[in-house]
Amino acid sequence: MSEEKGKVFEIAILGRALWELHSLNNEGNVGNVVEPRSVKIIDPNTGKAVTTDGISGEMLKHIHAELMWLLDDKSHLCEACRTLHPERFNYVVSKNRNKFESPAYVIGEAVKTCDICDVHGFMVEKPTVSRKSTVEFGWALGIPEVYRDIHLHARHALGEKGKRQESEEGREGGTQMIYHRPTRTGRYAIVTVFQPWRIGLNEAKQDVYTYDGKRRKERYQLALKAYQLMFTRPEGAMTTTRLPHVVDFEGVIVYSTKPMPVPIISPLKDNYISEIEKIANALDSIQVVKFKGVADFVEKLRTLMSAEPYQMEFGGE
Amino acid sequence: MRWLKLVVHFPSFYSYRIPEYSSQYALALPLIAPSTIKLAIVSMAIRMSGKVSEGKRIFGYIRDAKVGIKPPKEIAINSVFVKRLKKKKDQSGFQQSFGVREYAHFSGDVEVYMGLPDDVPEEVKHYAKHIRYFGTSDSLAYVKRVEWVNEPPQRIVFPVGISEIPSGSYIYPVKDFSPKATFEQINPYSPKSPGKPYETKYYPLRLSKRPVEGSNWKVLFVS
Repeated sequence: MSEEKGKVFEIAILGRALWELHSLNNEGNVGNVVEPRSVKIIDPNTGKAVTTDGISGEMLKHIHAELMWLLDDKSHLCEACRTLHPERFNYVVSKNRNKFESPAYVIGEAVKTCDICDVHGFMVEKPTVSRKSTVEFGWALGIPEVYRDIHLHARHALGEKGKRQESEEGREGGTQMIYHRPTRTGRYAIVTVFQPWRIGLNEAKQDVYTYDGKRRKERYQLALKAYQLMFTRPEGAMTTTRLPHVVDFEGVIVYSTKPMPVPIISPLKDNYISEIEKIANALDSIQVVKFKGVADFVEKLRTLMSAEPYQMEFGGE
Repeated sequence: MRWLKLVVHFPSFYSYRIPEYSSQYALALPLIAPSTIKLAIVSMAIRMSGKVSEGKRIFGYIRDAKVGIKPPKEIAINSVFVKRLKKKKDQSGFQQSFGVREYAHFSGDVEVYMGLPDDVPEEVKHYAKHIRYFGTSDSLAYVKRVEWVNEPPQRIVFPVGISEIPSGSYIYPVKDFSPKATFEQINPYSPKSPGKPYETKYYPLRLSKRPVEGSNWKVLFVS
């Protein structure tokens, strides 16, 4: 693909990622066992209900937000996002309530001030207003089959080796505690959509972009860089001891150059790429770029960096 | 009356809480509610035109539309345990909390039928084609096809009043607009009090056999 100099309305990344021996998302603890996240899906290729592995969209969005924060020089972040505070702009508003009276002003200020609030959205309690995220993630779903294993570990109390074990095995406070942790290996169907056209748009006024071209483009590039990194090095749960082996990522980058929603067909389907290509051929302004492997994905996504985020021409009220 | 048919593909999970159910224990609606479909079209009208007045105009045409759903043959519903941070009451900071959220996965595309007056403008079809999600923004959706049809086919589930629910059906409460609902009542940025623009109806879902259930999932077989 040549360097893209045009305007980009929406981008979808649809693919199959092969992650080995990871534990990115878990259901929680049951006693001393960490339960892997299991979901029931209807396999579109066989029509049968199967149990597989899932990584929630919340987890993927969290990875993307954290990478954006890491890449940001912190001069364009609000007081909350500078420290990755989960409340985002609500924290700023709640500290200066008298200043923020109208929803339009809240969104305008948040979008003007903060890269993460603008791209990832936020909710404010008073005045009640929310900004919808411009990056969206569906659940990453294990393409049947995902291999899952539960491993047994033991924790020994310092200085207790050789002493008689008085307490019940597995009980906190004893000389040894056993616990079980999962790992998974498999291909995951990835669905994510990024809407560059909404960067800087104050949706409480609807037809007003809060700031001009240069900042919009910088935020657009920041979000794309975070996408490049998240499939190079996914960071989720248990990465201190179960950092995923990133083996492969293949699929399509679909983008539109005019106001047109990009087709998002589930990569659970074996023929998802040909279906997307058929849709793209039937519509104007949809481009489909295939990638094979993580390096190829990073390179192909880089070509969109030089494009401009689309700016809608509104007629006004 | 003519019918607008939408073929909707959900590439991942769909989740929309049953109205009035707790957000801590958010059971999901496996069928898209009439108000959700209508609001999605109004939202696209505002977004694409940049004019709130355009949303108001379109709302006038679709408020009373009859909505029916043709679900796919199988629907898997997952009940997922999630860890959350909850704001502390009257103090700064957060405390750890948890909740349950249900997600639906469909065996195929979902068909939506909207009965509209003959003079409905063509823009409704255009805006419907551009819908990207229903309800919550993580319920990503792609409208594969939009077309006008004369009649909805068989096997359509229409919302009904509580007295009209056929026996033997699984029921799901949903919201639709009341005949008196105004645009100002559904506009979240309006300073006026919203009042009660919605009325509750019920989707009666007929199943071909009993659902298969596990500890945190079930599969519905739609007849």
